[in-house]
Amino acid sequence: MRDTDASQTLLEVERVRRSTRELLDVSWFPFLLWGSLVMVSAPFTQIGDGAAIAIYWILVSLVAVPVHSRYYRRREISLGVFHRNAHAYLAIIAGMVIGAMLIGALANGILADVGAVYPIALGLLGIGLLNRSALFAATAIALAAVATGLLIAAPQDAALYAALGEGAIMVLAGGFAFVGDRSRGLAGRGESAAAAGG
Amino acid sequence: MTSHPSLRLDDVVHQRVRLGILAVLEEASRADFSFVRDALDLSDGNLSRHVSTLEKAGLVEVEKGYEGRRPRTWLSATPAGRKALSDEISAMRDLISRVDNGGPPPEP
Repeated sequence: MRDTDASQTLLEVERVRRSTRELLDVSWFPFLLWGSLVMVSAPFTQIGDGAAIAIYWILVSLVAVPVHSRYYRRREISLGVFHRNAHAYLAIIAGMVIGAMLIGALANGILADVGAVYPIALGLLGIGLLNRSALFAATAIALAAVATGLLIAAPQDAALYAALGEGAIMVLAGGFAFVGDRSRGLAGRGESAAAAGG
Repeated sequence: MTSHPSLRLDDVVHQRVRLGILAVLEEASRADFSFVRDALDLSDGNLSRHVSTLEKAGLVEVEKGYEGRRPRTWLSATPAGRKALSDEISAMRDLISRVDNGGPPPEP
């Protein structure tokens, strides 16, 4: 076997692996879904002693987690290819939701307002490692930076700023992901069936 | 002394289409026959022939079933198939590195 043959074969193998991975790892939908929900949560941070925002997240998670999971499932069925790491993703997402809720419920002061972001950032970093995605890693770092900035500055409405800032970062990440996926012809593939549930 | 990397290339795996099949299946828990066919731009007959070779070698599993009313043929890489792909890539990388560094040819 010639050196150039081996090089070309390796390049082709990597191209096939990457295109399969990119098709499975389309991420604009969850970023936009969860980013929008975080932004919508902002007014609830201003109501009462934290019970309103806790109830908001419990109710929203009951709907959003199945919607998120169903989107990917329908997409996989439509495309005819199933993700290798589906269980790892579900475990990470469950960890993010439970971790954020626990910190919100158990922490005090500004940590209760802002600290829930850290399990989310950690989860996104984990997904970024699984996907080998710089966008996930960058989003995780941006979220952790905003949360840390708010912890240090300790403004009066830290929870409100956290919800708006972090929601905006995730929506922005969703926008970047959509543009990137669309330019590679990935956004839209298998998604009409996923959106229609068929 | 370690063996020459070209001697570690597996005759079953070391074929462009079969490497492509294993590469697609490496990234998925399972994939439909038509997905793999389209991803590698193959005909049904060509893919079928190579899948059969990989299946006989225990590197790929084939499962026929239905998704709703739609018949599907699912392909998945076995643990041996994943290892075979990993070993093949490693052998090719070593081969390239050896050639680039002016190493000796394999012993006959």
